[in-house]
Amino acid sequence: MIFQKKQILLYTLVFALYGFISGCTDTIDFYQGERRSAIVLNSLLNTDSIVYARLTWMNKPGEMFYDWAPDEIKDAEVSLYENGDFVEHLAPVAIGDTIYNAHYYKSTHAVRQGQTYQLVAKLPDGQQVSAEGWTPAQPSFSIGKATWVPSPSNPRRDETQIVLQLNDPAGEHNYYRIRMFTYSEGYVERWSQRITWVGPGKQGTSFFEDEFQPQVFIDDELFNGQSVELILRCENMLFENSKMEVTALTQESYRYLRNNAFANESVNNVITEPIPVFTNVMNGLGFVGGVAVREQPIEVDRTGAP
Amino acid sequence: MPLLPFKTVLLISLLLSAATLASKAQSAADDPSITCTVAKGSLTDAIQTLGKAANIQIIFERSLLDRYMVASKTFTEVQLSVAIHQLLAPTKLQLVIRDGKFLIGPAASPEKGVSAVGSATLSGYVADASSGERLVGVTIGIKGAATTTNNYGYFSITIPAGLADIRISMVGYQTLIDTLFLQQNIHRTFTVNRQSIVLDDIEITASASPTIQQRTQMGHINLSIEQIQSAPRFMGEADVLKTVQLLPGVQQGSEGTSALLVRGGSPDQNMFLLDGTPLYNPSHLLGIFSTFNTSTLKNVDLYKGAFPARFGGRLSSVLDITTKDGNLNELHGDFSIGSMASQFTLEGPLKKGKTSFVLSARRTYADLIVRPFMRNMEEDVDKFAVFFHDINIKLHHKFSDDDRVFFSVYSGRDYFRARTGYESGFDYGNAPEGWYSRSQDDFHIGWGNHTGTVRWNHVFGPKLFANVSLMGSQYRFHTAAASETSNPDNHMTSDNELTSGIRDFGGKIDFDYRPHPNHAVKAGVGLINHRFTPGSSSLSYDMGRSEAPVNVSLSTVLHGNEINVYAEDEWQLSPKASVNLGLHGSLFATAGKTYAYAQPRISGRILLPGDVAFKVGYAQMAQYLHLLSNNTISLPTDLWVPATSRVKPQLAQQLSVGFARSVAHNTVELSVEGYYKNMDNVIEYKEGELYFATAGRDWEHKVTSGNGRAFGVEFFVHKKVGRLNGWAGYTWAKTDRKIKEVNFDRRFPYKYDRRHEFKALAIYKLSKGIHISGSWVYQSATPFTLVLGEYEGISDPAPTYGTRVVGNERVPLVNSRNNVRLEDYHRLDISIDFVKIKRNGNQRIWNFSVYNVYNHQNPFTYYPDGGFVGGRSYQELTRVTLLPILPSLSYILKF
Repeated sequence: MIFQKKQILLYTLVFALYGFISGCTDTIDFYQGERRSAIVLNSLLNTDSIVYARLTWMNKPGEMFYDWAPDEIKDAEVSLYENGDFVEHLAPVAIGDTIYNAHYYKSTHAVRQGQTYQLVAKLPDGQQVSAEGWTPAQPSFSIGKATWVPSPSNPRRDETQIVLQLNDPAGEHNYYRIRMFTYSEGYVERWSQRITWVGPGKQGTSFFEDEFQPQVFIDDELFNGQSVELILRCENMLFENSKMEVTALTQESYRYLRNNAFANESVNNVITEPIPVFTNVMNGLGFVGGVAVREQPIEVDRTGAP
Repeated sequence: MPLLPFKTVLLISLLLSAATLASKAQSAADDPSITCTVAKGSLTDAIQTLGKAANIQIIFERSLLDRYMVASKTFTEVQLSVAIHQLLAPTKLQLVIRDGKFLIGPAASPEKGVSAVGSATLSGYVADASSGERLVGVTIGIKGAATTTNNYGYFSITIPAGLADIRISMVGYQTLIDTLFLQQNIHRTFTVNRQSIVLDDIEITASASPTIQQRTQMGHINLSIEQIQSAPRFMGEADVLKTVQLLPGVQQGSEGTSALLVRGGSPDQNMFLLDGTPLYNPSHLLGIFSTFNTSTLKNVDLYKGAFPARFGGRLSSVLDITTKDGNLNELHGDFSIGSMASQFTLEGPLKKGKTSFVLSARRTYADLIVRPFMRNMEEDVDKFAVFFHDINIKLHHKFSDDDRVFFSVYSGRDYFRARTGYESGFDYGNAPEGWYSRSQDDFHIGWGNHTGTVRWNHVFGPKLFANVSLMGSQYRFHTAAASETSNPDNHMTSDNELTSGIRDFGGKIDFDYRPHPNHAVKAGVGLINHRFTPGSSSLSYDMGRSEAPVNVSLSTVLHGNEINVYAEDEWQLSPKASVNLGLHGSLFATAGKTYAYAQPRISGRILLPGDVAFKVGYAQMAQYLHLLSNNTISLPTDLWVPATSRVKPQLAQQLSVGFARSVAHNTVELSVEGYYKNMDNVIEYKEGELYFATAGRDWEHKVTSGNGRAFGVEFFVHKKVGRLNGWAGYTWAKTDRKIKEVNFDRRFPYKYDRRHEFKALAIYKLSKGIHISGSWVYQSATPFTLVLGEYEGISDPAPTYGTRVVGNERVPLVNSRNNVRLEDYHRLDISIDFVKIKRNGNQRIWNFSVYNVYNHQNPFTYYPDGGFVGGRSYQELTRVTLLPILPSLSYILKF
């Protein structure tokens, strides 16, 4: 009898433990119904550069992951306005080869610093979307020589540390995006390096989080109007074929690009909240906003290197 | 004048004679003759001897008689009243015979202590007759007035002097009815006997406590420990917070957790008081179990609105939990073993009637079960532990009727550790013979609460009671990872540690003053020093060979001092109307910034025709602490941080209006309450901030704040007594948030905005040996943030090169925070107790419980998924269910 009681207790314990640790998943009918698609208008207006705009249709979730082919809109009329005045119709252009290409609308005029631009796209069926943004000034910065340092989280690996001297204009709120790229021979193809900002004004630990991201977003709240030295780290050892890119952003561009960067990380993470991405397109989705991109080659201090 | 007829005269004479004889006989019965001898000793003993001889109960106040001594004296065939008069002759006492009752009280000339205005104060404690445990919330009714014992079992009531019937009642206890000759102030400890739930045929008798329509307080629910222990168990554990979650206006957070969300508030807006000491993150196993071991608890009060002025520091609720003081008379205890954990509790006297103790411990043993299975793992796991434990210790010493001291300690901890080793020999790669490499990784993570409290209860006089507390509380999260690698050429080590938490030291003094039958005044002052450690980390590594070891440590510590002052008066305006007026003032000083708020608290009650009470309450609350938490689940890494110059304190205003009435001889309480709550400066991480981040110096820049609203109506039926007891509640509620830089600055539904909610708990004593209970919860769909589509994004102003569009990432379309509501939540839990009383009086209980009886797949979260089949893509939504049907078994032995 005692043996039976023990057996019952044991089975109950095991069953309860199993039930506790085993979560269950099931699929439910949610995306089966057709949803009305939306027009997506995207363009980043780079100071002193011509404009590229792109028009596509919205997809169902997951479609683009497995079949990277957003439906392009090739027959729209896309107009560019500067401070409310018509400038030109953007010309449709396919970029790429015959197999892999992308359809853009391209201007002939360059956008100028401090001006407000509007893009209006009309489809043959009368649908119309529009958005506007203004163009910021080029960022002022310089970079010191990069050095190799041991990784704090893994001493067996070396990282690259770079000091970025950023000269922030006074009297206005400024926003920046910082990226690093390594170029293949001939500077045609590039790939993004993952970086993190370790100081000053920032203190954290990489105990739980992988702080390295393809881009660092920063506003000047901590150093408004000052010339500040930002210490950046790249997770890899860099050599001479790399560049640092600093982009001055408008507040709207900052919101959009920052949101966009985080949004994909949150989609399939059950403990983070999916993030609504900022859009400023009337009657559609996407983003039109100003940026000012500047790049500088990275010089590596190889003193003492093997 | 004509003479009366003779027959008439005779008849009248006979009747008069009969009446006289009857009167004499009656008089003799009321004041019988006695023959007895009283021994030399106290007057009290002598009077009791006379009473026994006459077989009559003589009513007196012991404290009045104890001061007199009498010599030995023999009474022979003397009337009782005469004998008493003789004994009282040298004293300042007198005998009064009223309505056939013998009462001894002070003589007519007033002496010190007798009220000059014809009133007297009865004060003291009410205690369990068996254990001496002082009881909280006991109702003392006397001469139409009533009061209740406070959290320390103390009461005081002032009434017109004279003979008075007193009625002392509490659910679960036999009602005590006594008669007092209240001619001067009396201080006394009353003892009441527990209703034997098991031995009787389980009728917890109707309480004579004030009906719900007589109580001013709104939004307050008192839970008996019996109901908590009788509710269905989860994994074999009775759980206070899971029972509280069954009340209207209180929601659970994520599935299975003990987090409380009260009237649209967030989990950090609840004050958990354990013997008056605040407790942070009171849960184990990622929130699945609460830290409160029910075997040690005495009383649980939940306040969710119309907060009395004595409470402050949180916006949404106060859960005031009092633990047992310990049995002053006998050693008792209980032991239980369940599916997840075992616990034992022992209580008893260290010095009978003077000093008592309570000792309790609980531990899970998942690691003991899992450990044998780890032997088969590829890696050598030589250290493995995963458990939580709780330890409660309490000492209570009674110096006198007026002075008592309590010392209590709580320690609870969750812990996980795994140490693994790996070794490779010379056959590894191209290593030379004799070469080896040994590596070891050691990871541990733990968190827990530790509190300590010293309290001193002092009775200054019949109308003034004080409690002085010194307390300390700490919540600490700690994790560390260490690795060590050695081979014939080198030895390398690295250590990485992270600590975060909050630590409080403080003290407070509370006064309970009853100056008049119509006024009950509470006032007090408290001071707390907070020390916040949002993130303290250290890193050291030694690469061996000729490289110098590296040590890096970063620490962020913030301090805050909080002062709270309050006063409140429960004012009985008339038998039909009462009001509670209060003011809570608080001040918080932190680095470079000081905040101060005066928070008025007002609640009132008026009795309408039909014996229905209309109640209204208004409360302002200020909270100087924030919890940095992700929006989805509660984690031990959630960080408590103070209000700063940049992040302001949370503020709330709540207005409640309701009706209440009791029916069925005060056994069933019906109430309906509506509320509107406005919350300012509620914080959240900015969208896109990393949720696992430990807060460094820039944590203030990662959060944003805004406004929250909550409103709703709660219907509640509560049957506290009887063979069948329990409750049912329905809530209609709505809550939302508007937070800067979240959801495009637009208002959005709060994560736990559930429109409809129905909950019921039924406890039925089927027989002496079988008790069953069941609870059912229904909640309409909770909002989730779901991706509705995706579209192309842009990250560069121009296509940078050749053949493909590069950098244009997918943008998930989320039109709004918490944009869809999908499936309702419902769950049935049942529990059955098989109870047996053994011959030695011990009680043995087998409990079988089932959580989620019909295995409803309740949503924990959803995520979109998809694939590519047959040339076509498909999309689907996957629901994650955390807790399916979960049976559990537990064994409890009470002795």
